[in-house]
Amino acid sequence: MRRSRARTFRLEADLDDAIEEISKNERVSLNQVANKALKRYVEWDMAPSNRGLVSVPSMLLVKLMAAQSEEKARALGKWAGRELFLPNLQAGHPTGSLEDAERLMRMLAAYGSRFTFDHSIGRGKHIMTIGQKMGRNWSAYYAGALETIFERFLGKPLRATMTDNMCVVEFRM
Amino acid sequence: MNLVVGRALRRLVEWDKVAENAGLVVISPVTLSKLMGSLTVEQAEALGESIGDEVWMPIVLSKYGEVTLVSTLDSIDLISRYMGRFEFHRTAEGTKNVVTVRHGGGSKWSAFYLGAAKSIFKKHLGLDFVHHASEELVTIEFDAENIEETR
Repeated sequence: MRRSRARTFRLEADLDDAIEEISKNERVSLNQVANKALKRYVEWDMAPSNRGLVSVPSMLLVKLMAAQSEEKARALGKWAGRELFLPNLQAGHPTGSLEDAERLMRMLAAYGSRFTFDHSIGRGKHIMTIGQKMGRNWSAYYAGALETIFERFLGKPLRATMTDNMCVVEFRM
Repeated sequence: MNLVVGRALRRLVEWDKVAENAGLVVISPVTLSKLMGSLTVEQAEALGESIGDEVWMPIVLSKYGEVTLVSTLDSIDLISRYMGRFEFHRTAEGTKNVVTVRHGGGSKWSAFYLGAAKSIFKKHLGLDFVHHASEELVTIEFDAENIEETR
């Protein structure tokens, strides 16, 4: 069981009213409301690797990516894996292990809202899956990114498989 | 410590529900620029207009319950503070209003924001405006009643 500590804070009255209303509407305790907000702030908003990221409507990304060819989308994913994900991984986790990469991927999935991420291991085989709902070219983008990211750990080429809504990489360590 | 907790809770109260309703997702600005870079200026403006229609207006309605000049300006201010895409300024002198969106993203992003302004201010609010667009910003000028009195 996770340890907890009691703290006392002074809140502006309108903020106090607003979180009380959220607590009532969502039928959760004030503690849960406050912890959810603080957890996000600590894990995501303040993480060095996430500073500078921006929020945009998913519809904008759907339309922008639809204007690309599948090959260009995959190449952009490879670029993002090489130039954005791996340097961010190094910046936040100097050892940059496979576990660190998986943790960063889960964080992007949980707070970035663009995709879901799953990792399963069976008989020594790793299966990494990204699910998304923004069109086939986004699957191609994630395929390119996953190939680049996990090739770094394997030291050999990797080919992701993809559908309109997901892409998968399988490998043995 | 109060400041940290206040900031985290303020974001939850002011923004998280809006972001969820509007289907907002997170991306690197560099990737976004690369995607926008592949469009023509005309395509970027049309995209801005469709995002104004299909995303912006529902955000204003879900957050404020009505689409008025006041709620629209408040929504632009809110979005500029939390989305991290642009800075928003408004000045008013009598009935003359000047709205500036400073994005620093180049001519295609200016075309995008101009398209969004056409959707929001012309189509939905019925306000005619004159505009100025550069690589860095878009400015629109329009006449409207003294809106501070309607707040």
